[in-house]
Order: sequence, then structure tokens, then C-alpha cells
Amino acid sequence: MFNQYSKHSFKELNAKLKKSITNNVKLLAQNSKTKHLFYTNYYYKDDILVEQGKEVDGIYFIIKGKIKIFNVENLKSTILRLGSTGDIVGLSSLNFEYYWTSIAALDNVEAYFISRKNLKNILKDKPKLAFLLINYLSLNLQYFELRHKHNSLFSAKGKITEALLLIANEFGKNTEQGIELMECVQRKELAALANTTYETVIRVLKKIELKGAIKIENHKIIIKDKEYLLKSLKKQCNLSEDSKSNACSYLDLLY
Amino acid sequence: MDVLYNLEKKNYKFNSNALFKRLLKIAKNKNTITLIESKVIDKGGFLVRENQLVTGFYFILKGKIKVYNSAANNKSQILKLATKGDLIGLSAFNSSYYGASAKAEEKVEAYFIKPKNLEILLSKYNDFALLLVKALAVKVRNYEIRQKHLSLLSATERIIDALLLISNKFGKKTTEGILIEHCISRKDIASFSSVSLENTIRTLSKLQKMNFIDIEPKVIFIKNKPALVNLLKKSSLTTI
Repeated sequence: MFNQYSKHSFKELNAKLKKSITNNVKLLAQNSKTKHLFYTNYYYKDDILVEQGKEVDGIYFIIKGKIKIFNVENLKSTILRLGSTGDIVGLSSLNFEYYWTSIAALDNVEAYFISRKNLKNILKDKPKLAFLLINYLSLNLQYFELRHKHNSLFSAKGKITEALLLIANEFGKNTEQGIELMECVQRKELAALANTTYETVIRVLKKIELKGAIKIENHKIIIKDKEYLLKSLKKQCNLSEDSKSNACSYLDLLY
Repeated sequence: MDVLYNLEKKNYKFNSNALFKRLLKIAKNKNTITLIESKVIDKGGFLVRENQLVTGFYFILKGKIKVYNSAANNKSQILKLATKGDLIGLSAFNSSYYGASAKAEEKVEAYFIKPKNLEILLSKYNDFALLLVKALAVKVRNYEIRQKHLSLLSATERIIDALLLISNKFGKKTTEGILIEHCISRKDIASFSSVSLENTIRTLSKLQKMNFIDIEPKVIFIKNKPALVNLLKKSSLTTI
């Protein structure tokens, strides 16, 4: 179980863990002794799986599809995380009365729902699932620690570049033209993910497109030169020449 | 919001912290006593260091800790503050390297568990595993809330947010208000709130003039905490 001495990148660990979670949960949902604890739910694009402010009733394991986790306050939206097959949502609200975030489907989603009470019972009998949850939560913490760092480290351009790389990592499709991004590419959504304004996103995307690193088409963005985007982020990390921090050496591993 | 700032919220009382109650029992059990080490870290000492190999995880019994990672120009960014009942290092549970450093602001006493030993304990005590899941879920939620605050709040609001978080973790109730003695250098508050040093100094003066806080040599008193929380609720955020 422990990958403590593994040389795997964050990206690889995340992918392995999500695969393991999906396989385990599918087995439990098919097992005659535990299948009654899970409900299979189907969602279309823009459907809400979990609504901010509603009472917590359980968690969802995403079996198929793409989701975004966001919070809205005074009409301002912050996208906290993107998710897909193998992600678990609602977990951070487990100890509270109300969901703090909303979760929306970005395309057709299939998810297993398990109530709080049933989750507690199943974790008592299946310690492996508890390990996987601990692993998953720990990776979540790592993700937020890195995002906090980047919030202060990167300029608006850097944050938007990072947002593109995060979307590519989670939802990107490799094509002949490059990495195709179809979800979460509306300017408003990019602004919510990158913590900048709508106008800044439009301006920065145009600049990056002029450099040839991306191509903007109707309803999609194609990343043509991912290396260029990574290099521009690394430049922002090395702001002083005598910096001892190797803080950004992990960027290749993250996206 | 109350979850982050409330000084007397129920699940913050160490005696009712279920995870630690369980851990204390496990630590005294003769079958598992060798799996948990007691460690003392002096003021200024490091529990973990960013980018160093993971050696284990800390469960804090006593003391005050600042958790930070590196930012631009050799500066650091304070991620969070920790005290008794908190966990250190667990974000690196399945990594080779720690993602942040944790430094003792005063003498720290903690249980230290190596990764392989933690694996054994989690297999042996299923209830401990469940409690750890819950504790980590709370940490994730706190980080999510911080992520939102850092993106939505203005500079002044971020400084108020930082003061409230510091008072929540390190504050002591007195007749003059909530006393904070640690992590109150302008540099620390600027780092915690992602605001420039100059702006931090200016804002703290403003808050003092408005009688929300009292700044004395080496300490800050938060005189009117509910009013500070209301300032945040009115401006950018409503409820959490």
C-alpha cells in the first residue's frame, strides 16, 4: 500500500489511486452482501449532484464522467477542483451538517451514492476501503497545498496557464493537433478556476494563442505546445537567481 | 466561517477529540507501544522539512506549529497553524517527499509514527482508521475554505481572516480580549494572508484605530472578534 519510496509523480499516484478506488467500489457494488448499500445515479451535463447548503446525506464515487467542485458566494464562483472517474465527492463535508460545495456534471456522469451511515458500516468491515480513502484525502491535501503556493507565486497569466494544464490533466484528449480541452473552457469557468477575472482570461488566452502554444476554436481549446506552458510557469518560480527553493521542480510531475 | 474562527467549538476541545483519545489508548497498549514514539521538539526546531524524504507523521499533543511552503524570492507562504489535536505530515501519506515544512513556535510534544507502523495500526484498529478518515476530511474542508478565501477576499479581508485564524489556533482568552503571542510578526501575517508587508502594516494600524485590535510590544489583542467576523460576512462572504 505505501508508496512512500516510490518515485511516482503526483499525476501517476493520482491516476493509480483513482483506478484502485473505482475497481474496489465496483466490486463492492456488485457483491451480494454490500450492493444494497450503494445507489447508482445517472446525471446529464449541468445536473447538480450535490448542492451547496443542502443537508449532508452521503458521498458519491464517480464511476464515469467529468465533474467540477465549486463554491458560489455573492454570485462569485470559485472552482476548487475538477474530477473524473475514480474521484470521491462530498467527503470533505462528511463531519458537517451541510455541504459546503456544489458538484456539477460536465458531461454524462454515473456515480455510486452511499449514505453516511452505510459508509460507516462498510468501512468497519472493509479496511482496504478506509486505506484508499485516507490515501485519497491525503492527495487532496497535497493538491490544495500546491494550489495555495501557486496562488501567491504565479501572476494572473501563470494562474490561467496552470488552469489550462489542470484541465488538460483531468479532461484532456490527445489528438493529432494537440491536447483537446472541451470541458470547463468557457472564459467564466477558467476565471473561476484560475481565481482571476473574466477580462484577464480573455486577454491572456489571446496572448498565449499568439505565441502558438494554444489554438482557440469554437467551444474548445487545443494545447499545441504543453512544454511552452510548463516553461512559462517554471520561469515564474525562478524569480531570484540565488533562490534555494526547488519549489517548481515538481511541475513536470503535477500536470 | 464559524468553523474556522470559533474558539470554543465543540470538536476543538482536545478531551473530546475522538482520534486522539483513541491514539492515547493505543499508545499505552503493550502490543503497539513500540509502534508509536514520543518526541519533543524545541522552539525553532523542525518537525518536517519541505522536499525532504518522508520519515513519518506527527500527532500533536502540545505546542504551537507553523506550516509553510516556499514561495517566490526565498519567501515562505504560511499554509496553516497547528496545535494540540492536529496532524502534521499526513498530506505526504503516499508521497516520497514532504510538501511543506513545519516549525515549532514553542516547545512541541507529539507522537511520531513511521509510515510502516501507521500501516500496521490502521490494519489492526479499524476504528482508528475511520477516525483518521474523518480527521483528514475536516482538514480538506478547511483547505477548501482557505482556497476560496484567498481567491475572493480583498487584501484587508485576508488580513482579518489571518488574524481570526491565528486567534483560533494560538489565542488565549483574557479580560482585555483574545491574546496572541505567536505568529504575529508583520512578516508572518503578510505571508499567511498573501498580502504585501507594507499593506499588512497599514491595515493593522487601521484596525487598531477602529478599535478592533490592540497592538502592544510582542502581542496583539483581538478586542472585538464578533465585529471582525461580521466585517467579513458583510463584505464578500455571507455564510459558510
